[in-house]
Amino acid sequence: MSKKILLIDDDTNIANYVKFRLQKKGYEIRHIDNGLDGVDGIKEFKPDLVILDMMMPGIDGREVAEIVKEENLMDISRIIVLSGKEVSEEVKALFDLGIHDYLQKPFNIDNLIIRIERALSNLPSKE
Amino acid sequence: MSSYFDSIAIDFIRITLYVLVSLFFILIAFVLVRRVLLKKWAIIMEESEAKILPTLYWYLDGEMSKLDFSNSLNNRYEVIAAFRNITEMIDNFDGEQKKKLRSLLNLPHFNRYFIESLRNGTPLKLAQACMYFEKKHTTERTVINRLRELQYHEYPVIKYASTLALINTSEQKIRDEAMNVFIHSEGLASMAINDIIYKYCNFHENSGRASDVLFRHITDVDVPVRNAASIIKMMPDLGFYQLSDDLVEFFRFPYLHDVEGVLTSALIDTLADLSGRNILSLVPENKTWNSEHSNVRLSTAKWIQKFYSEELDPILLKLAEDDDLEVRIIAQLALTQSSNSAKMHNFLNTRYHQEWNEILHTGGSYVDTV
Repeated sequence: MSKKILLIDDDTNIANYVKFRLQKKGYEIRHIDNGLDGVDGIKEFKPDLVILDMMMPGIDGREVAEIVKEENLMDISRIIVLSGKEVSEEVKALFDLGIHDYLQKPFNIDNLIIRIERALSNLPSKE
Repeated sequence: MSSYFDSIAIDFIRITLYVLVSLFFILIAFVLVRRVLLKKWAIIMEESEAKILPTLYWYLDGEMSKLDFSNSLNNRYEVIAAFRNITEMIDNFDGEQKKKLRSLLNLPHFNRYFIESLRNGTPLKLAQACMYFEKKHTTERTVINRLRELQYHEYPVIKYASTLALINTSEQKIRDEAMNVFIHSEGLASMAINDIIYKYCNFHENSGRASDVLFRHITDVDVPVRNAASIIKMMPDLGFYQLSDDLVEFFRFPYLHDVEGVLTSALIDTLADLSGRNILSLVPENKTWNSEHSNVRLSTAKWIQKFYSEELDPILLKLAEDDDLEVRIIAQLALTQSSNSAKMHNFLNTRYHQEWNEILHTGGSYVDTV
């Protein structure tokens, strides 16, 4: 069964291309463009990995990660964060929460895919 | 006679009613047509985007050549849709994809479309065209000349966009001239100024010369003070610590062209960051605590609060009785650092005692202004 990846990013253009590339690799991808629906998406879709954008209107990436941790929606080490900011206090706080990895925008898509594949192969199975 | 006037009045009312009703229907028709056109335009753009995006992705993945991608652009809607997506992706992607996306900007479709927009476009099209030539790092002389004209456009956003495009060219002389025209313009937003200054310094061949140019603009009486103040505030972020002495000299002597203390206040805030405690002696010397402008007194209070020294308690006591509440709060908070803080209320007018107690107990987070 193909691994499931949830992409939470308000930038539809970027998300579509990431989705396009990951679908070609055989992953099952779902894209959600805001943090609030993203939390629901995590509950329903039960992804193996979440790619989470930091800067989103409404609930931002950090808040989504905090909700995931507080409500124990999934293993937080299955989250890769995308951020327009350089390593800042906010990113440090996310690492303290336990996220798997962080990639700064603008990013190299090949680099993101390598990190996704490495994360999925290193993480224990969900079951 | 009276029936004659009555009939004229009735005719007048009737004509007025006809005119009003006609105008109402014309307005309704205009709004409806406009809505239909906008909806149609949105649908066309959506369809164009749906067609272009997969081709763009195939091109990025090497499944489609640049020529094939170029041939897939059949009309201006597709050109606009492609440009919009390419620029968004350039800003977010790095590496090989970014290079490939940038190379698409040289396609003749884009060049033709945006040169035409630059010649006769609406403000929106002009801004898009400026953005295109900014991303493209244009060196075409005719385009540069047109961008220079647009620096004098009535819309600040066009002034900003054209300057940005000129600053992205490869010739330092063009960048210097563009910066000079821009910084002399009125009505610019401080965010726009910050962005232009940041990019100008980033692209400058020689950082030392960039700081000299900026300092010249700060002291130029023809540069609007708000623009000069924005440059001053950028100094710590740009790391131009070498300008500290020049700024101190500038601060030490009066500058007649300041307006409402904007320049003085910016200088105090910046010098606090650049030189800190070393030049605290300038506060009593320059009497900024006694300025007629509350923003200058506030900056002074913040400076002293940051680098508190008991020698400045007399100045803080004056500021602690300021007409402006914010100045009073900062000054009183600064006074709490004094070894005499317990007795400090004795030096304040009794009407400020309640405020002082509240500040002392809440750290300034609550003051009853009633």
